[in-house]
Amino acid sequence: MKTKALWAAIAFQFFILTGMYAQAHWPVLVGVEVSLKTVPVDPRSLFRGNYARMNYDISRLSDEDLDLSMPLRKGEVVYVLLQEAQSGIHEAASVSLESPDEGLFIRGRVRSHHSGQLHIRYGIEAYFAPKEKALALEKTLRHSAKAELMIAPSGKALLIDVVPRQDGPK
Amino acid sequence: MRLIRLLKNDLAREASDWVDDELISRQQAEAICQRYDVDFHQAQNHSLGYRVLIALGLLFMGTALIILIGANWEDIPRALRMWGMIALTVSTQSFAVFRYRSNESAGVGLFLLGNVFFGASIILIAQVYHLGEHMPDGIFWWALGSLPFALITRSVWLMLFSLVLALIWFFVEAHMGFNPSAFPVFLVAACFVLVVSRQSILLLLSTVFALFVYIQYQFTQYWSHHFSLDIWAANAFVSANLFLATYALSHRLRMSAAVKAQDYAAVLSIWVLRFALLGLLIMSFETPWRELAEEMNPSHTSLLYVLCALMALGVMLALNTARLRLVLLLNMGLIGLAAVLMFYSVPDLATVLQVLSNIALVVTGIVLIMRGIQRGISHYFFLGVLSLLLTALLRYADLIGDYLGGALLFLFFSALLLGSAKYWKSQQIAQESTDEN
Repeated sequence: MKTKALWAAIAFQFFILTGMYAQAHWPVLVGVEVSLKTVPVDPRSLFRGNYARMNYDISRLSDEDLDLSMPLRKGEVVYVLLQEAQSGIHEAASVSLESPDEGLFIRGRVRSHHSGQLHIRYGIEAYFAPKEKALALEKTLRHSAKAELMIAPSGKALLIDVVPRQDGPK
Repeated sequence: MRLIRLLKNDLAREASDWVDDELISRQQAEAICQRYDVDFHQAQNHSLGYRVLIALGLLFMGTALIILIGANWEDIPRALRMWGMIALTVSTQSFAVFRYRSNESAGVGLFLLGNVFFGASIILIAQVYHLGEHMPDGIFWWALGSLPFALITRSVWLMLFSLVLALIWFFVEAHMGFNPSAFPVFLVAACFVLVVSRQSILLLLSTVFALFVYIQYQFTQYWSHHFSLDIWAANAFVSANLFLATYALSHRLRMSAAVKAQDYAAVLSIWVLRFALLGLLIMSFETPWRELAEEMNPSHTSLLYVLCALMALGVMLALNTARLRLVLLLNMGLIGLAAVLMFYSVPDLATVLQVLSNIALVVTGIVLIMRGIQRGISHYFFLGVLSLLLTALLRYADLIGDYLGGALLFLFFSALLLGSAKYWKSQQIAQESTDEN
């Protein structure tokens, strides 16, 4: 009896891992390719690994640019409707608490909302890379980087790569 | 309560030496060990230190792997890295199942290692897919995935591992402003393991700590209307009443015939006493009282309901124990104090309360010294002496510059200590004359 329960516990761990893998991989299979303007900075975490932290233009939005009639709570799930600019970079068009019926949108969580500024996290803020590559990203792409993402129909985004932006300073 | 309860493994090993020196027979040594519910033969083979070293060795092995993953091996294909880690986790756990059937402690050690590999796999998946939306989720799944092994094997080490992870998850979530609503699952699981498995002081104290932190966090949210780790004046009163309820619980457990319950009673009683003295030392200054008085206001009436509920819990636990009256009086005193701070603005109240705290500290010190001498309990005696010495030093620091005040203070404490020594001597003489008769 105990042995069977232990095998079930192993299966539980296996399903957690494969479930996380499937959930993380899902946007690659069904998603749409999107580019966002980003600025990489380089923190280092001993246990999570070396990564460059990504700051996006759509991470900090102003109330004036958006149709927001109420203050949003910390942790609230929000959907940001994206529109493609002439440069091919996607920008935020509006924010809503319900997933939009049409258009391309990304799902995030409110980190803070005060003084007319909305700070949102999308789960694409960490780009894991070896220390040298993370430092190089910070140096070379500080003013001209774009993040390539895949966004699933649910709005879940996956960060694929960080590359130089064509319109950025040389 | 005597600390020997907490040193019974050492007692078992000492008894073995007494048998070797032919001071007592093997049967007598076994009877002594049986009295404290410790296996005389098993205690000779394994020590706590041995188990700690094995557990730490396995944890460090797993940590080394996590740090290696942290270095981001770009040269190895992502899929190979990830499926390799999953395979390593599953195969370690599978091997642990086979080992567990023949040797339980070796199996538990391998489960511990497998759980660390499981966490490393979660970190690796987050790394491969650049996941960073809500980092605490990964810690939660690590703690939850490790929990079934603790419940099935009823191992205190595996439970401790899962509980520590759950606590890390709790603090990270709380720091980010969220309420970790699934945390009670880990508390219930820890209580279950405490009841059904062998005695573990570490797990007991960790569970009590986790429970206190969780309860306080819920009240903080209620009183501040947002989730944060801030400590409010009301939390100080809740803490005091929680400690009183724990004290009552220790006396309830003491009435049990089970040796494990009596051991837990001794541990809880000692720690409540230590925290009570620490609390009194903190409150022996004027500033904490002034801040409490400033922060408490009539809008805190809900605190009175909470304190009454905790008093009911404490009294219920203390029913039919020798400490019912003490628990009731202290609870009522705390509720009265909270009410005074809330509804009345008494001039110089902080100073009056500071003086009362100092008197309480000195009286507690004297009572502890006397109890220690009367019952021959050394930790009561030394805690009493320590509280008197600390009070004297702290108050001397307040009086620096005032020579007369300082001299009078030390004269007072000198009289107390000399009086204690005289009382000790008289107790010894009385004991000797009783023995002679």
